[in-house]
Amino acid sequence: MLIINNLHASIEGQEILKGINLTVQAGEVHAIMGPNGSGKSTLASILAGKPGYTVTAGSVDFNGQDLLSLAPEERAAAGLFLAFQYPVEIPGVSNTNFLKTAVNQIRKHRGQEPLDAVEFLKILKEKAALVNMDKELLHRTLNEGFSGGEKKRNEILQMAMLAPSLSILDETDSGLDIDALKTVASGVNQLKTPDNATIIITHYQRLLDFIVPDFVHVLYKGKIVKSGSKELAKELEAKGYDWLKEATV
Amino acid sequence: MHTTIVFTQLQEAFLKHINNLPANHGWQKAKKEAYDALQQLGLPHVKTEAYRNTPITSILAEKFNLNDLPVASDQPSPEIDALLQQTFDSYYIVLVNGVLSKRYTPINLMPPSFQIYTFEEAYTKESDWFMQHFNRCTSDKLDIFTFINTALFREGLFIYIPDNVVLDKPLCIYNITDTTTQQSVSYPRILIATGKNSRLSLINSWHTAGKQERFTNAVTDIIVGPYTQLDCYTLQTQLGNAYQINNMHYYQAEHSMVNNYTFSWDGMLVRNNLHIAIQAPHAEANMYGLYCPNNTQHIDNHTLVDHQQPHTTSNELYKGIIAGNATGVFNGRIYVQAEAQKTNAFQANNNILLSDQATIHTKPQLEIWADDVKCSHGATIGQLNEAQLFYLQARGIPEKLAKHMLLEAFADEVISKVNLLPLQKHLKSEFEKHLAQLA
Repeated sequence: MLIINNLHASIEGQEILKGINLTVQAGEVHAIMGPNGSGKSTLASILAGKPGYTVTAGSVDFNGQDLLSLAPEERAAAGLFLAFQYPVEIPGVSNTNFLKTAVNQIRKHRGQEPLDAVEFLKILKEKAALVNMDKELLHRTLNEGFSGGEKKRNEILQMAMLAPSLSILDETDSGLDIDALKTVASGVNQLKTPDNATIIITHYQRLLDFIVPDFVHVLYKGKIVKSGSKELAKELEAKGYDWLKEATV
Repeated sequence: MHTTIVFTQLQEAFLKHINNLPANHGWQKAKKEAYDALQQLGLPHVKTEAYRNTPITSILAEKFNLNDLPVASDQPSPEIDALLQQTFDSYYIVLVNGVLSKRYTPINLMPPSFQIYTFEEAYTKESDWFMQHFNRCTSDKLDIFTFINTALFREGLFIYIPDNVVLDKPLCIYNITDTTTQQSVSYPRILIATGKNSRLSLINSWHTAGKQERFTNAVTDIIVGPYTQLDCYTLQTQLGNAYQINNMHYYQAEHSMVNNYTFSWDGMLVRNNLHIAIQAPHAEANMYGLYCPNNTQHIDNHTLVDHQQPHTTSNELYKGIIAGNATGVFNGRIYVQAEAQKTNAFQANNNILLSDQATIHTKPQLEIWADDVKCSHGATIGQLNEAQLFYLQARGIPEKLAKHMLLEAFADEVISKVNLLPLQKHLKSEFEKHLAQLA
């Protein structure tokens, strides 16, 4: 589904990613861990198409398409979803209208008929239940005045509505208490199918207790320095990152 | 040099005009005084602060012949027919080049409580009553173009709303500049006086029929009686190739409330001089504006609220979206006189520039002579927020639509303040159409 090949990228002349190789197949859950500043969020941003980064070498193939040549909205329509570390507040845009516009734009891109209001609200209600989303939040303006937990749940709701084939969760656990973490994780688990895949970017092993990865990768100084099974995450939790840093020097 | 050209033309126009007026007219004195004021003050030149960013005199000199006098025209016009088709459910009055159109105004359908006259008719009916209202509308802070209008207007429209009138429908004034006539200038003049404890929504809708460039210099004076609430909407959204100076003045009595709205996104050049005199305690004025010039359009809003008495409140929110090579100007003056203790006055002006060539000049001006007041002001200039734009795109919304969503959200803070729901809906759809024309 996703093949990242020798990806190098820089921002304002400074190289952040220094040759990433990663392959994700349908049905898999990958965790990318690593210390602060290792390039985890940069990788997520580049995959989603955030402006400001320069890819200096390498390629990304997403379901046979050259991902890096697509506009952010085309990547979304192709089935890529980024759950933001810091979801943006947009005053004046209602949450429900935003979701409806997003869903129907993606449907349009895929040559499907737009959902009418009744169908849309039915699906919205169903998906909102998945993340315990308060009805009132659906009527508010997008993320405005939402708590940290509400914003993250809203991200997972968007993921549920857009039904992507590849979801990238960027530090979705940051700022969440244990109950919110469980809700978010259970939402993600319920959305899992053999046809879609998930990349979880996180500092801590904590989230991986609830969303169990098939593979764990450690990103350090812009490179994947170690890959392993879910046991690697436990090892990192116990030993920290320093032993890996020493190993790469 | 431009000032001399325009001044000479105005001089010629005034001499022709005043000789045509019967000497016994109540407002002939006022016209002479206004002409004297014009001679004294002179036309704006490059160093005139109030017109520093709007070089009006050179534009007038280059484009128009101001020795023209307004001519009455009341010909059938398919454009006016079409315009009236899209009218809201309202009582409406049609002015063509500042003159009441008997053809298009269904005067017999007005509510009986309403009194509508030309100045001539009102003066003939009861000269003291009319002159008392006419003379009340003065201030030491009026703009030079108000004096030019007073000196040269041909026929005024006087609307009187007595005490305790609550209108079931808004009153809509269609101010149409008919460019198929020969004249190049018009001076619409409207005086509205309300009694006590009334409530009225007024729509001042400006239009241009035909493609020619024309200059309109309008004055609307509104006397707001005690405990009366007046919502007034100025629509400059279908101006075509108009050059317009729109002078609006309010004179507020105790416990009155004014909500003034200005929506501007059409016309070649628009200058609004909004002037609110809060002349009695416990009165409140709210001013909302949305201006969105594109291409080479120029839209200038100069507002002044003059707090003359204690316990008065004013609130101001103007927002601008400037695209293409267009220019926006905002100048918001809050004047708190020494007697006006316990004044609350707030002002905000937010602007989004959509291109590198777009310009905004914004300037808050606070002059406070009282010592127990709460006043604040703030101005911002920015671009569309890139993080918001990316967030929407990352959810599959194409860039252009995402931009429109953000601009609609920006404008909605003003449009949602419109109390008349059908008008709010109309403005939203007109604004969307305007957005579609932006890059």
